[in-house]
Amino acid sequence: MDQNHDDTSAFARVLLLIGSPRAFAVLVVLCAGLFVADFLYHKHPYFEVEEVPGFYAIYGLAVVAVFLVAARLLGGVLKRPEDYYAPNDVASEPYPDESRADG
Amino acid sequence: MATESVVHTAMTLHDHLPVLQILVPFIAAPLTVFIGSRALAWPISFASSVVSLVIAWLLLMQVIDGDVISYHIGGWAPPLGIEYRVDAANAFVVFLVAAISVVVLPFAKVSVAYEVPLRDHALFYSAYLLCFSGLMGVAITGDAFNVFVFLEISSLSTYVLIAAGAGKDKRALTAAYDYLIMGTIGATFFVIGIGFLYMGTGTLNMADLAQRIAAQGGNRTIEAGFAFILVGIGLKLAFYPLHLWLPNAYTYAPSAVSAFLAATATKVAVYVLLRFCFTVFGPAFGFEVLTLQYVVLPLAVVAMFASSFVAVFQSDFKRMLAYSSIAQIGYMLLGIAFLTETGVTAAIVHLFNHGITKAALFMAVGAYVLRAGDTFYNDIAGLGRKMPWTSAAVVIGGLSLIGVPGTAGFISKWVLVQAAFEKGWWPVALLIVASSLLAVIYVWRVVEVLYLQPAREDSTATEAPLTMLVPIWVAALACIWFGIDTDTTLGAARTAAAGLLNLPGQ
Amino acid sequence: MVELVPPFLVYFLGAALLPLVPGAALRSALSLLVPVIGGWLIWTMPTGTHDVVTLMGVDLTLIRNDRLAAIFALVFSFAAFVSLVYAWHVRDRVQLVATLLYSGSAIGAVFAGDLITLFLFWEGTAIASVFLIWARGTEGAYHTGLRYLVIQVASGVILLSGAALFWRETGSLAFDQMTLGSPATWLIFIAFGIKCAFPLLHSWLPDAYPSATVTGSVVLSIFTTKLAVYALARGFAGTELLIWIGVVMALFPVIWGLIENDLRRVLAYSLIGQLGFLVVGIGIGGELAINGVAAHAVSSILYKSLLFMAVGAVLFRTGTARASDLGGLVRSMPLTALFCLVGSATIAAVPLFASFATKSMILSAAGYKGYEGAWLALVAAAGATVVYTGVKVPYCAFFGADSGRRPAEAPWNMLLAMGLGSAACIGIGVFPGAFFALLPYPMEYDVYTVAHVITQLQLVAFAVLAFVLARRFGYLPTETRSVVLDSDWLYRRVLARVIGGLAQGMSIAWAGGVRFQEAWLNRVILRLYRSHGPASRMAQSWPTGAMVQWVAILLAVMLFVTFLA
Repeated sequence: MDQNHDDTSAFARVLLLIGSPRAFAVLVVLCAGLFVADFLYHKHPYFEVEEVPGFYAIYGLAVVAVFLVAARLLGGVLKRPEDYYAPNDVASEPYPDESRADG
Repeated sequence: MATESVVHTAMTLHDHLPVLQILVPFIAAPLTVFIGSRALAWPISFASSVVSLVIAWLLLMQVIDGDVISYHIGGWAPPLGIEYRVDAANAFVVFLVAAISVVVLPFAKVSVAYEVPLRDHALFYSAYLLCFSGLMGVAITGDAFNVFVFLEISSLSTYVLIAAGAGKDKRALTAAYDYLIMGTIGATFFVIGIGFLYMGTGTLNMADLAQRIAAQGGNRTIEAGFAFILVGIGLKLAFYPLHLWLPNAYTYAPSAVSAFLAATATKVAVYVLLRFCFTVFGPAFGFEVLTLQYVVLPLAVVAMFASSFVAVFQSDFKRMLAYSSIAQIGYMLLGIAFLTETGVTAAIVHLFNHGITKAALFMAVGAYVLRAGDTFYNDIAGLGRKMPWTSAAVVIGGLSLIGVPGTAGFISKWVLVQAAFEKGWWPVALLIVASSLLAVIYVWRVVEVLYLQPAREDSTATEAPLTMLVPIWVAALACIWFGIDTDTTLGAARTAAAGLLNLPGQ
Repeated sequence: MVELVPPFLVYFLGAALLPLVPGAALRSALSLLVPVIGGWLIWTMPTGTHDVVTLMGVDLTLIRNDRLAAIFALVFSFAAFVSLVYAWHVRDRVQLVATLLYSGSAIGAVFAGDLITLFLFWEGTAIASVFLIWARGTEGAYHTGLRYLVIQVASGVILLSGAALFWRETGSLAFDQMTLGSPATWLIFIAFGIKCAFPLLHSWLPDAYPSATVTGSVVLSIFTTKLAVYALARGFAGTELLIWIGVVMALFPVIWGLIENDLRRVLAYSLIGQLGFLVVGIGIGGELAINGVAAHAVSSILYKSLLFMAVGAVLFRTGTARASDLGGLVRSMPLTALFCLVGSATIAAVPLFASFATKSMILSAAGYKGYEGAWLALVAAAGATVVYTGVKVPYCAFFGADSGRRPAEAPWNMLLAMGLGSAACIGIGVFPGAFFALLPYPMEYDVYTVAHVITQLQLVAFAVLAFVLARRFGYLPTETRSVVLDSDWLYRRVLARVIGGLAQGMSIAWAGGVRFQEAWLNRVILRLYRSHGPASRMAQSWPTGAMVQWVAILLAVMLFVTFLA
């Protein structure tokens, strides 16, 4: 919409680091560290399965992977064009301009 | 509480409240004529109405638990002397009359100034006060002949009040004349009926009458008396088919008069009917049961439908309301004809709720007359936007007339339907609901005219003045208030019904 | 009788009076007083039942105050305050009135001590809230609003029928712990379930919430479903069926959340997922679980409204909330992005954020009671939540592929509201002890144990890692403009088709009938008009003599009848 806010502030540049390749490296190191940390403390689990080293890490990774696959498969089945329910639905309508009121 | 056994000396002002209730407006009436000031006529009327309302409230509070106040005029003990007898039933009616008067009078100031010639104002308010005191007198007195006297006071002044509409429409004169003839016949029948009763029992005090009639049982004289009284009162309360005077009278009377009469006059007559049917005579008498169930009940149902149909086809808002009133009186008579406590409760509570509803609507009519000149549907078309407050009040009043939940009208119809079920007369209950549907139609026609039709191009109507809007809205909000807070009205009506039917008080 | 001012009255009075205030800024400023006064009333309210009023012969208990009701009412007040700050710029009086009536009804329902009062406020929330959808003003919003209203009102009607049956069964209308079994309790359960978005009863939620206005969605996300959670916690705590319902609710929205393109709809699905946790907690029952439900309801109100506010700000500035149209907005809306990240971190239950403290209570309760299946499912759902809400929403809107859009930062009032929400999320996360003191039951619960911090961080970090890897290898669901089918397809498409087919057949038969009936009706009306119309004998002015004749006839009839007796 308005193109005149291109001067990215210093604060925004700091936040942008989250998306950078360096951040990915940090994430990998963090994951590795946490996995190792699992061997270093005493556990008091509710269930036996928790005693598997790195259970939360493996389970988290696996669950997300399974859901991503499921979403990909189902996405092909469930997706319809945007005007599927039109005109009884808002999906294909532009949002009425509210920002004008605020300026 | 009862002053019955108290010796007459050393009474305080408080003990004189029953008579003051009548005397205040009754003395104010000639006062306006003697002073003769057009400017002072209204303030005097209003002041005396307010005083009456305060007194009525004090009385109602004393008797609401089922007590009875017996006041002896001039200290002469009944049955020889005249007795004013206040119980929950008539205190409720007196309070309604006084309250309506206090609400209608501020409205009347502008409305009457517009509709009645200026030179007649002092006389107009004098007649109004007479009518006002007469109506309260009818309700408060415990003496059968005294009822007749007060009935005549109110009727004679009513004829004058209706004729006052002649400044705007000459047909008011014929309407008043018709009503004069019919009213006089009604009063004559009534007094003949009382004559029969006196012949049969030798007393005129109602409590005394009741005792003696119960003791000696029915005979031809008493029965004839009952028939005459029923027809006489039937005329006053516009009992179908004795209603023929009403449409013209309400249509051509000044709006303020229509509002006041529609809300009070027929209601007081209903009260008198209740008093005679349940206190003086009693459901123990076969002839009364027979008459009520085989004559009054069918005619009440006919009234509910026939008048509603006529109302549906009317093209004048004011006249439509007049016909709707006849239909609504049908509901009250129906309640009485059930001869049960719930039925009588329904009649009494509808008497009150319909009173405030019609007051709101007829006052709105006055506002339209003031701004649009008339209330024919093509004159008030599109005024919903030009007079939003008045029209919104009309919508509220209309909803109450239909009996939509949340409004006063719903409560009374609900109780009435309950009464019908109690008796196991479910077809009657269905008829009540069906006739309410007709009310939906005639109310919708007005709403449609007000909101959905374009205004006349030459219309210069603007919102009514505040002195009109405030009373209209007081009445309209009362319609909602008493639709939600049902304890006050239903409680009072139940006590009154229990008192009338001689059941132990609540 | 009424001895305390019921808090909902403050809202209703505000709704009645505020529209009369001239000047938008003054109106917005005064509107903030409403939740403040309401909140103060709740804070100072003594426990027990008050304000028993009688309406048409039924005793209504307007206030039944205990710690469970109080915490819901307090968080509703706080959230109402925040959303009113967020809506400071809105000039539309309808939305203001609807917001106040809606919040007031929700608070009234929380304090309701009997089923009839509950029903009244239950319908109040339904009717007030639909205006937040209609306020969008488009045709689609109108139809969506209608669908929403029908379902919400139906929930109320079912509740009322349940209450009526319950009264016949037990002779009581008190709203207290119930046991499933009789038709009455099942009806009440289903009524709660509709508002709580139980599976297959849920489709109104992702249909309606994203269709409201920017501010409307925020308000909607707060009340209806959490009110249902409160009602379930009050009436059906410990009902085991709820555990399995909750598990399904926690898991299935993950898939829709991953596929959906509209970010507000993603949030709507994730809202159902979070409700799943709460419903499981209610199903487990017991002091720890109910504490957990109350606590997590508070934090999910906070982070869900925070996320709706952040996405709302984007929609407000750009006119779209579609993931496919957005990306890279952090460059010009950094503060909004930061608040969105706080919301993400909270929903992902990162340590130092509210959910870390609250969600774990429900998991612990499942652990103590030995529901291993439910526990595993909830941990899975927690991991998935990190991705489909916690990462996807900020990624699609603020990071990711740059859309080239450079909208202005959100207005000050939105930033302030998001700041308040963020502060609350962090506050609870950092000082859980102070917050736990408000919970229904006293308890000893240590949040920050080494094991808990490390295992939770593992779950979050590896879930994020999975997302990043999937993106690297191009395995994320593609963001395209689309509609994703859900169970509402059954009534919006299939049923519509079936009815359409039936209607066509019917209409042919009907047309013939109608023509016949019209002719008949016309004849009836004409006849009625002839007999009752203004020119008929019924409505004419009669000559006086004729009137008198009626008097005579009637007198004769009456005399005859009375003599007959």
